[in-house]
Amino acid sequence: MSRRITSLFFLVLLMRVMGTTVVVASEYHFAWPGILPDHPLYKIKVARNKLIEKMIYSPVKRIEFDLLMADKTLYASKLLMEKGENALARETALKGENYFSILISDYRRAREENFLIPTVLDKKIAEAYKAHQELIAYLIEHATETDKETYKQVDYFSKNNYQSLRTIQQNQE
Amino acid sequence: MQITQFLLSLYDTLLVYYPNIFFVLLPLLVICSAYGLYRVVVFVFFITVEETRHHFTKTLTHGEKINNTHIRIYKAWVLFLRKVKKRANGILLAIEKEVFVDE
Repeated sequence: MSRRITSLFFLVLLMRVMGTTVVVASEYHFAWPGILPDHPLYKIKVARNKLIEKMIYSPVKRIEFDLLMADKTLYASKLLMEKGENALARETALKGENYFSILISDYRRAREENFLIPTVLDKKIAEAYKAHQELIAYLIEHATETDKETYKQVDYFSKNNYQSLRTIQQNQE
Repeated sequence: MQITQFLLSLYDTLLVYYPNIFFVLLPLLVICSAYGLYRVVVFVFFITVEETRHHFTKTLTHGEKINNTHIRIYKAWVLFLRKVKKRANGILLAIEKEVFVDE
């Protein structure tokens, strides 16, 4: 019986992996952020994410994790703005871009430690950058006059981060 | 060596993309199994299944065009769920019988 349950569990896992792959195959899509920063249990999620960050073994997977977090946080910022939580949306957008900065330092570390970074991941980061730029442009367009400055700052950080990443990639080539 | 690498890679992938397996599902399953709460084990299993279905539909409605591949996978998923539910009912009945005989 336990064998059956185990095999069913792995089948569910496989289905889930399949579903996710199909969804992101055609063009870049942001991962669903789940509960937003205005939720009372969000602090638990943040603590869990910090724990995950420490538990990841491979530096390459850490880069993937940073990218996933950047995607989720930036998208959460958009959702918050649509909910009218402007102050929280501003703060969340900055945090989202901060995850991208962490990604750059993790990327540099992985390269220094001679880990092979798959070209698929490089491509995914480039696509993510484009999607982030579109999202930030949307945020700037729909923000109030006072909030626009913060989003422009996020845009500046985003471009700067990507430039740093390109420099690292070119230095290694 | 290759098996170790594969397991580490699997661990990392699950941790990054499905963290609730480590933080919710496994601890619950271990605790429930330790206390012999088989009904809860099956229930937790279904929570995971339902959460997966929710995740799937949520992703589809997340500003994305639904294509035939999505529909095919979703249909297969629903069929799979029905089969699993039937099987789980059988398991529960068997457990109840076992408990009844023991008493």
